[in-house]
Amino acid sequence: MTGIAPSKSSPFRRAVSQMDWLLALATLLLSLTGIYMIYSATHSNPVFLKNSLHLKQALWSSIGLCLLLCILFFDYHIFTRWAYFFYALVIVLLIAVLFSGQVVYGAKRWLVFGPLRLQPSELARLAVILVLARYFGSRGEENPIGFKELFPAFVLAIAPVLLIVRQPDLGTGLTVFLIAGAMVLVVGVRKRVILTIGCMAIASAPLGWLFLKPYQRQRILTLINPDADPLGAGYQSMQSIIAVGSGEFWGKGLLQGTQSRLHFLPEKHTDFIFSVLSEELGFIGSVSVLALFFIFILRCLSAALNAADKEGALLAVGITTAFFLYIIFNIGMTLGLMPIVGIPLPLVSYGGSASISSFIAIALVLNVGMRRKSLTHAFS
Amino acid sequence: MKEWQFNSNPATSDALKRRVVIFGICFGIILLGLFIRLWNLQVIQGEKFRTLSEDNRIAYRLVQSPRGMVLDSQGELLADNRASFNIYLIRENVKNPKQTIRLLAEITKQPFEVLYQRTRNANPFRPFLIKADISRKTMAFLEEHKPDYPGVFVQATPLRRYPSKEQASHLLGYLGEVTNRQLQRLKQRNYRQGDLLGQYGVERTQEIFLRGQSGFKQVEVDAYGRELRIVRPFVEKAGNNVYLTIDMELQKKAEELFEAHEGSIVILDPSDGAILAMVSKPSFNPNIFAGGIDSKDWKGLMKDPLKPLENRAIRGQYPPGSIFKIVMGFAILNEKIARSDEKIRCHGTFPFGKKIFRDWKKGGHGPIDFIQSLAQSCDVYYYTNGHKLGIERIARYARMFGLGSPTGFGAAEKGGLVPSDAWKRRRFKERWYEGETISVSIGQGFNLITPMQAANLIATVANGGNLWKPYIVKKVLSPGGKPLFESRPRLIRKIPISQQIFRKVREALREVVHGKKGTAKKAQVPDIFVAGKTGTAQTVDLKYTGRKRKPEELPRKFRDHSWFVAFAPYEKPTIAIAILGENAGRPGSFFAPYAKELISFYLTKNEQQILASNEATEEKPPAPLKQAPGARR
Repeated sequence: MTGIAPSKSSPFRRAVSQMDWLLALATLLLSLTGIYMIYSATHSNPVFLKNSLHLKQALWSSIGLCLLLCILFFDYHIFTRWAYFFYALVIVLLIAVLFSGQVVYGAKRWLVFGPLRLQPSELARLAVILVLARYFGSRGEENPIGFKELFPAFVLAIAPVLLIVRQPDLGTGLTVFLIAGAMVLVVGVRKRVILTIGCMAIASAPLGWLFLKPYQRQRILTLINPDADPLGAGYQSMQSIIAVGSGEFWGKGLLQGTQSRLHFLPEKHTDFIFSVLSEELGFIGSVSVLALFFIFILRCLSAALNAADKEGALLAVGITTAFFLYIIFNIGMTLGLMPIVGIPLPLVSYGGSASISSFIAIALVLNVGMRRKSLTHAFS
Repeated sequence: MKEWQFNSNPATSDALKRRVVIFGICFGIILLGLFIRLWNLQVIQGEKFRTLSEDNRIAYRLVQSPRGMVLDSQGELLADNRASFNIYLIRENVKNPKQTIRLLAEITKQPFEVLYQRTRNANPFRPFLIKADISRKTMAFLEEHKPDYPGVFVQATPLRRYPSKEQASHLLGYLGEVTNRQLQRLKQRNYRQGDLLGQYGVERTQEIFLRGQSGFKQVEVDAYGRELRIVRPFVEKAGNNVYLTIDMELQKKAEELFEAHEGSIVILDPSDGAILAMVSKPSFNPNIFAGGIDSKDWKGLMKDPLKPLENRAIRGQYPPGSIFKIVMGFAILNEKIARSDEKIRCHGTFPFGKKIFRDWKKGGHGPIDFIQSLAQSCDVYYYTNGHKLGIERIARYARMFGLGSPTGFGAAEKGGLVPSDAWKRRRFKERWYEGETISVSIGQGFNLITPMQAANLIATVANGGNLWKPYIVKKVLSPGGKPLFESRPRLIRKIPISQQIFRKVREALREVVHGKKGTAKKAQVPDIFVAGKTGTAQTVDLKYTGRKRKPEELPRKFRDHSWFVAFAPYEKPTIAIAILGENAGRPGSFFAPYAKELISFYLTKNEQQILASNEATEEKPPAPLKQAPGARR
């Protein structure tokens, strides 16, 4: 294997040798699972089948994969250097979507550019991660941060969150906010700050209830009592639980899920793809996917641990948290543990914007891992 | 080398690494939670869910409890429900949407594109109403072909019915599908797309009482959506029953009398403002709205030049004509412009500036006092005294009697118009001319009132100065008979004018009907005294009507409106009536016999009722000994 041994002349080759193949493999397996499950979820519906959503998803994943490879060529610092510019662009897009966005199910989430539809909230997640990694990464001191330093970060995070919540897309807004929170926690915060914010959060929880839209309240209430609105959110939750449970240990077999075939499951190729998977592949299948996600998350965190600098570590932590939140929100929702918010399962659910942005995010994590400390130290 | 630039970035600290590890542990624990949940659902409870998914396919079906009934004051049914069958579609279950909807459009005679678009906009998981009240033949066809069209099903639902058809339609109103705008507002109240709600009349104003609870029953269905078994029923809760103040027999009588006319009749109980009858003609048949109105029918109603949907009783605004002289009479006496026995010489004209205002009677009425001025409806008397009063005082008295603003009966009510200097400056940016005061004095000019206001005016005169807020809902009872709402009469104001003046005006109004020269002698009812006032409201300016023309020669919109207001019995009024013939082209006295019919009908009926109830008390078992024998009548 002398061919790929690190040589002084090519820093990229050195980087390739440090590529996290396990993470790449997990990514690939999850996307393949997704494509197959989308086929399974839609094969009984002639309209969906005619659109061959699984093929479209394969196309999206391929595009994502190409983008991923492109990104690996560049050092991730190039991306963080442009973080503020990117952030500003995303804010502009988020404002634009409020004014001229396409209305789907009563929410304005999409910007339409000819044949392309863009969901700026997908980009916003990445923008906040990049901008915060940059903001905290360039900080020299080791002591925990206080209010003074926290405030600009808070403003950077809350601006896109508020714009996303306005769409309204509470689920995505909340995840972006939580990602920002996780990054701040990893940087390290003074105990006093944590205590104050904690108390404020608890105090303002009832106030937040007042700001929720009726359907959002309904979803939370439905979680507590699924029978309250049996044809709305509770219905979906109930049917999803039945689908998952009925898979039993070995599953009903591929393409054999009755819950999805008989259309008891809503949004089965997007938000409820995990229910279809659990029904057809059973406990074995769903736990395997869970395990794949576990490996995926661990590898992402390991990239953070070994990152060359703080910026890289924070970038990896932010992205990991994003994936993690999407995974638990989505799976928690299909298992009836979380309110029904329209959050897809990363890499597995159908969706162009979501797939591509997932691949970009993974590319950044791989990038951080490839240019890890040992290497930079050794050759600088 | 480019990379040196980045080396200035601070390195990761051990503390940061430690926190990353803590994060990893937290993530692991949460994933473990998901694992446990999966184990629980799929392995421990798996069998239960397997049976649920394979044998029991649970679906939720909407159940609409019947809407409450509307009854008149005597308990006669004005609106109830009958069984009907509706077609619903659950788009998610439809195999071939285009073909299915094409078929549905064909059998329900709806345009395909419209229906297709509407179903696409609806929630795909919920039943969407395709058509209400389908024929038995259609139902049989659908039942037979059910396996070919999954996602389509027929369900029995109560359908609104109005037994009196065209009668009382404006006051009862109709139902209509909830609009998107209303849905935004009513979502919390559990309204869904396709729901019917009151869009007009009592159906609208009493919606919250009338609406029956709707909800879902859980049923077991097969793959075609057929109900196999009810898993969890929905306990129906019917809407509440609304009792109106309307006397339907009187209403019917009024409707029949007015069949051939356009206009309105409003009958009030002068003792508290309760509406006994409210007619607006032409009317419509609310039954055609019950299952969602045909677009053809709807267009027909909207395009009709006579506007049958308009409730003329509260939304028709007309010049009051001579019935305005009642208000003028109060103003003249109360402002002491003239004593009631003071006589004015009427020559048939009233010259003012370059203009000559004419009396309706050529040659005039000669010397005339207050009572005769009303009885004969002398215009010159009111020109003279109206000029002395001035527009501001006239406007004040008109408003005092509730003119110029809605009576408060309903939200859709119009307020009419009481002109004044300030109003004219606002409206036309022009000052008020005294000549206009003279027209207003006999109810012409800018003056506008609604039949409801006219009825309330005469009722207020009848009861000696209590201006009541007219009301139509007497009480609301739950289906079990528990009272939920009981109307209490609301006094808008007590007119600050002495009873002496009220007596004079009433006396004059009696003279209108019973006087030798009264204008409404045709309103006389045997055995009792009736008081009233005629009015003929010109639709074109007085100066054009110098030459008398037959109404038939004029286009409809230029024909006179005819008013007649009355109350009876004179001594102790129990009924107050306002009749308006829209563009009837007749003098107000034309409708005097109608008032007579209605008054005698109502009074006779009441008398019989009193007699009957007295008899009923007679038949009761003997009262306890203690009661004084004199107490029984």
